[in-house]
Amino acid sequence: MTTTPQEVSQLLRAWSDGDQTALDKLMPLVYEELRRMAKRHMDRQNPGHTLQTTALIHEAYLRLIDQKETRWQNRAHFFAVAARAMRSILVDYARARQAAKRGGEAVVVSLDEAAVASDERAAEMVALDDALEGLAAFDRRKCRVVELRYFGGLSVEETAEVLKVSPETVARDWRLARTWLLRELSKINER
Amino acid sequence: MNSARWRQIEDLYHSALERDSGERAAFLGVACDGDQELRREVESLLAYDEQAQSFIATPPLTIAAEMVASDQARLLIGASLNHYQILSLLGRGGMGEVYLATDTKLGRKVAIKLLSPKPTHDAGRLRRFEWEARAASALNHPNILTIHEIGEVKTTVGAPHYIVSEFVEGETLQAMIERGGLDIGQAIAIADQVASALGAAHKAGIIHRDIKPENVMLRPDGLVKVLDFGLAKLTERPRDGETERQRDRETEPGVVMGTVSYMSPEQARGSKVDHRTDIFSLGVMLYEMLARRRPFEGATTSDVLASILTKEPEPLEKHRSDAGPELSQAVMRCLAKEREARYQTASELGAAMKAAKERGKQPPLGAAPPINRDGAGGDGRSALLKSRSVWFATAIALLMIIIVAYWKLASKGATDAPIRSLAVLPLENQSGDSAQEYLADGMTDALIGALAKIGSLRVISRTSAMRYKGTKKPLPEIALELNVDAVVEGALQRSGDRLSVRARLIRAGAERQLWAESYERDFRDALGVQSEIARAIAREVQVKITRAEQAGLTNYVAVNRKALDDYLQGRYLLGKGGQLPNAAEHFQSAIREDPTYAPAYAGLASCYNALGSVVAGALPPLEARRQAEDAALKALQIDDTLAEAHVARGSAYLFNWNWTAAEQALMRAIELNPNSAEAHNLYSSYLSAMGRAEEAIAEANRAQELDPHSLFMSTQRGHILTNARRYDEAVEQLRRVTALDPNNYLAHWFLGIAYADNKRFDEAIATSEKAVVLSNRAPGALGALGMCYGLAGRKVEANKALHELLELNRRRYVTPVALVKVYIGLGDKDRAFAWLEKAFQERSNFMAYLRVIPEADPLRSDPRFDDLLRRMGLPR
Repeated sequence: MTTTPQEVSQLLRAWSDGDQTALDKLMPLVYEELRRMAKRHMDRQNPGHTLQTTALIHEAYLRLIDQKETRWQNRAHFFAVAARAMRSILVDYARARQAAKRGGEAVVVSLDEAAVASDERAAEMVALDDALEGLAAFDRRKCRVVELRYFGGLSVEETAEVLKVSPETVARDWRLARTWLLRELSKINER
Repeated sequence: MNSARWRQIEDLYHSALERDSGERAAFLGVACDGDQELRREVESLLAYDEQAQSFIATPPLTIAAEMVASDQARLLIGASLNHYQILSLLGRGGMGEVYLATDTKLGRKVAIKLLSPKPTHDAGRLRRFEWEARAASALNHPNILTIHEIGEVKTTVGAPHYIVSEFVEGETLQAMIERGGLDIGQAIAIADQVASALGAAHKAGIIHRDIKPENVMLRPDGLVKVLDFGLAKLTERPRDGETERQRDRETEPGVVMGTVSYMSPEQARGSKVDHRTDIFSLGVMLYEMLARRRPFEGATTSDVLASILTKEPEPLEKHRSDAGPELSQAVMRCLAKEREARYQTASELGAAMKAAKERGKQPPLGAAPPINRDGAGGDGRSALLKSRSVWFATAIALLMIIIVAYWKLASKGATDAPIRSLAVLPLENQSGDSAQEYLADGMTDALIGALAKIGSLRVISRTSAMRYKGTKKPLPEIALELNVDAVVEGALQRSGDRLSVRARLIRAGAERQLWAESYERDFRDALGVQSEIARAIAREVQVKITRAEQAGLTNYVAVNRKALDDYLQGRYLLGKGGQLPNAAEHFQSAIREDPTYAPAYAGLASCYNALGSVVAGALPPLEARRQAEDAALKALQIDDTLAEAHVARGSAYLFNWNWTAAEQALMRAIELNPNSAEAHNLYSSYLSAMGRAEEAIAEANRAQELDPHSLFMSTQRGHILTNARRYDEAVEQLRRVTALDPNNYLAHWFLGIAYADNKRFDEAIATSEKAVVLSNRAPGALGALGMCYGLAGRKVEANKALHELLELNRRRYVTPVALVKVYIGLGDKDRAFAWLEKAFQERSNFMAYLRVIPEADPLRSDPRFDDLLRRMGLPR
């Protein structure tokens, strides 16, 4: 990646100052870095081995952000972007696998013995993403909470900082969102 | 859902949660106030609440990792990949899956091999694979599979490569072998065609490295196609970080078994392979076709490897009585452990196959069953050879065990011993053009020069390293001979302006690759590549590098090609000795080509110094040294960090008795290039002249370590030991040189003197006579011989030598030292001093050593001796 940490920091600052176009520029950078790192980590890990999303994003943060940049809010904002990127990466990945099963695309991924279990996982991941979109349609904030907490691995407090709401609100949102999503996914399964 | 409604639901949901579950129904009944739909919605959510506490708790990355873990790239039947329509899966191998497809553009059938994404991480290896695959295909050989295209597919798991090739209708040799029923004629015909494919590839510098039945296809009409040239490049010898994973994969039983069985011993050891590895593998395949079993078997991968390294295969006739002794011998020759004992080229093997084919056509001679040669007496020599090779193989197997143990230890976190010494082996010129030799040698030279500047690293000098040009010696042996911890080896290839260089650093003990890199550059950046390699190696061996050394690794100056060529030739001749005028001529030519090329001036300076020595006796010393000083000065004006120039200057100072300046120059040279054997050698001479015997020997030892194959350094060490009056060691050292090189006059000359100083006159005379003959009656040698005769009391012969010298002196320049020596032998002190005075006047090299030289002992008590020392600025 040719982007310098200074550039990324600048974009991040512009975005947290309210410049939405900065996010559009930032997103692909973070996405690319995370995708590369995630791929590397996933290659290295054994199935079942817990992979900490936060650790990964933190690593990306260290790599991408100018460490002389002292605005502490930036870290939270970076995590917000990273969480969204992470969601795309993982969901895209799962979708690609599903597409493969349906024979929709030329080349994809397939597996042998362990395949069945992870195929289900992939289906769940895609269903979750769809359900999140459904949630976002009438409650954008809850969708963001799930994105930050689940895909970004942020704590309640960090999520609160990014969304500029109280931690209590985040906790309530998180609880209802999970319940709602679970019910949505269960409905799909019952069908 | 509208947001007002949702807010309602949300409020009720959280309020209900604040109450005990028993009270919730009553609460909702009141709160919903008859809105049944609202109530149902909230209750439905509450029902999921508990379960949701553990929902989406697994980090998503873990899930993704699970999905990736067993991924393999796969094409889907019926789908298309670019303009290829996938028709069916043809097979599945270690490297990936092979599909049948239609090329919709050209309307032909093709085979597509999709490589597993994992082995292709390394871009350098990928390039080499592509290069080799394309190059082999471009040979247009009927027995080599034609490749149409190599590309990569973007997928979510990376970008696996695919190879589109001609589709060969038929089956693999593996399938045929499994089915059984290959007759001898078929086997020979197949081997012959594979040999033909290999012959063409080898000529183009391509080694297959993975010849096995799976990679050989047979068409129904009998035509053989060899597949996957270059592919082995992707899997062999992984780079550092990948080593562990690669090894894990290799030890999985069954996975690579097939491949391991066809490995050559050198592959099994993980050492460097050449084209003869393919000949071995073809031998394994041929054996298998005939015997219906593999020559080297075992229950596990390591058993098979051990078998390849240590066991002789069972005689072929044991399993195939109709094979006949010639064919059997041909197979066994392919399977020789030492590659020198195999067929040296694929065409040789092909010829043997054709001969076997011809023989097969003839009616068998009588009906006598083939003789089982196993257990037959044979001749003693081959039995001995055989037992020797078994012994050798056993030793190798033991070594392997040690290496594996070491590897395990090393990888368990125990840090490796630091690398303190290094040899750069001559880079191999793979351009297929001998005119590029100078480029390979020049880069080797530059690389040695750059690394030699690192003080904490001992780097073997160019003359010793160059001895391994084109060698087939195994690395551990070379490392042992040079006594180094690690070895750098590499190759370069030039086509037009493109230069590609590969280099790797290998730890000698474990023969473990520490670093490898390939560079693709413009030819004019050759020295830039060299400088990058030097820096990478310095980083890898993690020696302490000072700021100045760091700068030295980066500095490089582009050099005129012709100048470099002349310079290298000059260096070569200078190193050989005896061809000094020729060497000087080359340096002068290099200077004419590029008047700013400092090393050429330094080389010229060294030449003049040598020309003025007693040994060469070609120029009056003062004149020679004046020229040497001039040339050295010019070199230093261009580049004052050039160690060689300081050495040449120091040498001139030393023999001009400019003692302080000499020591300064030589110490500066060592500081600039701590690995310069010449600098240490000259400094040793200086110290010896000063009477600092122990230090002198230490420096001589260093010079010898740095240039272990230089007979000159060894001879010099003998001289220094003689001056230190450690005669036994001196004799031992010099005799080693004369044993290695029976025509080395300098070593005989010095050995004669060492014997004489030790009062072993018979040996002194015999050796000195040899030196006189070998040197073409050089005056210096003749003088030494005369001295030996005189000291031995053989005055007649001493006088004969004296008269020969005096006669010669009337015709041309004769070093006065020769006459000093004869007169010492004859006990004529006055004449000895008279000639010594002449030597003093012309500043002969000999004078510098006057204070310590043992031959001068008879003159020491004379006041004239002290006077000479005083006039040279030396203490008594």
